[in-house]
Amino acid sequence: MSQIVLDNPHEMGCTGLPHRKVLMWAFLASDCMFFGTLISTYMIYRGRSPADTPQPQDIFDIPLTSTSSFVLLASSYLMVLALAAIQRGDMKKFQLWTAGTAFFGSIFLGFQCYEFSHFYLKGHLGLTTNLFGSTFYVLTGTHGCHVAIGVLWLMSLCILSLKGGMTPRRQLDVEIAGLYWHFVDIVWIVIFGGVYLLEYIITPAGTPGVGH
Amino acid sequence: MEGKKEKGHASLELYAKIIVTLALITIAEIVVPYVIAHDVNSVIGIGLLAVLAVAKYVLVVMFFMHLYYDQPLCTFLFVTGMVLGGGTMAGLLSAMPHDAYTREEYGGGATTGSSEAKTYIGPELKTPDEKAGEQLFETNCVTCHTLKSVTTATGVIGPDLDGIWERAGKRMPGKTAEQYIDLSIKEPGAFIVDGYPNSMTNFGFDDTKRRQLVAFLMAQGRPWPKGGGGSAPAAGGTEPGASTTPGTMSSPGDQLPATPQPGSGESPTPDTVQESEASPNAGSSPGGSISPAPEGSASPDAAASPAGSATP
Repeated sequence: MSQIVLDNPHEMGCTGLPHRKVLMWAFLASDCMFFGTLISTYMIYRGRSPADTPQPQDIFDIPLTSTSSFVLLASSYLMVLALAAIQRGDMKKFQLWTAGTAFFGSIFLGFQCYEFSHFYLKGHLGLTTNLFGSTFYVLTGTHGCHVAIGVLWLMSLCILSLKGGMTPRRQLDVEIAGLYWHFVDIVWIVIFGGVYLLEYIITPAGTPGVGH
Repeated sequence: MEGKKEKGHASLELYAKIIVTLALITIAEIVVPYVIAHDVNSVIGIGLLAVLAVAKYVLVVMFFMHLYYDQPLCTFLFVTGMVLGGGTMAGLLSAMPHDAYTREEYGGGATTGSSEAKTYIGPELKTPDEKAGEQLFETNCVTCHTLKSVTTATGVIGPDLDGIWERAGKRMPGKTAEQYIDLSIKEPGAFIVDGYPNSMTNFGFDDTKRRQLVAFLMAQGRPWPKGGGGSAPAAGGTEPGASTTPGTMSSPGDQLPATPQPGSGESPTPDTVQESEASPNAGSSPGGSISPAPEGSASPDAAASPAGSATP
């Protein structure tokens, strides 16, 4: 692994791009489809849960989710700063921003843990309670898994760098991690709009928490 | 080796501008539900949300992920994935009835197998009038009226319209159910159901639209096609005299007669209808999963009561 550096002649393919970068974009493209099906499933089963089981409007907490959305967005910004730092050769800043990105990602995960436990304990919404529970937890849980993987990835980059294993020549490693991290962010953009906020627009009456 | 950067490079200043823009768009998104009045057609709200989300998405992909500066192959790969993903979503959403419970394919056990046993399966709309009426209903009525077969119809300002076909004929002397519903749309104040305000406006529907709405509402009481297969779609459903002929049943689970027939007058929804409340898996019986009983309508007049009690 440590042999892979940007100027490794085997790294470049006939595409003019590093293999690993092409691979990451192809993976992200496939992940689009993956999340596309999960979001579709959520949409299709919207409003199909029995009336006496928890409904989205009963348990969604928009201020909380908005906060975590901002945190994830901000982490994306720190990620571009980290990449810019290593491209400049500024390893100190790189370590700082990478750690910051991972930290913000962890905060997002913390919000999600709080949200899930709150939904489960206070909202009585389990994975098998109703269609809302199943589709919601699978969708947001899958996204949370992506975030968790990203946090581990960034932390490993940061630790590697602290131990002296990172050099500016390995900026491709950071760029690829960044691509993954930004993708996780844009998936959340879609989920935040299509799952959380949409709930307060399509439901015409009896919407709590919104001016009536 | 730095070839991928030759086309330019986003400056830190640009990144800062983008993140501020993204934050502002996010604030705008959060504000949308608060400023879109609920009686405004929600298409506006959905459109606004979609535009804002797409703007954020594009900004992140183009600049944070450098697609704007990177080689076209990356864009090609990702756009291919997005087209396939978006196509998957569009295909799924159009193939599956996510807007109403009226399609027969949802009558089977696939989606109603477990705790969904109580999910209401609406009638299959047959005539063009009924289908047009559904459109009209979704556009105009759902804010104030509840109708289980229409997902968005959750309003409690006006009466719950589930089972209206059964009650309508008894509201005004000398008027059939159809005439009553028609009049209620034409002159909303002509008859006010107890416990509800006289607050419905005259929507100004012409004769055709009223006929379509009446057809749609009357269809809400029609027996459902058998779930899972449609080998006996609406058997006896349109024949008032065909109720409960034991010989026509292939198995107890297939009992269509659990549904009150139009014209059978007083007969309340029989208690043989399985609500399957207790066991999460009780819905695996066909009868349970296609249970046609509108919740809360154990008797003709009771149907209005849940909404009625919630009315100011």
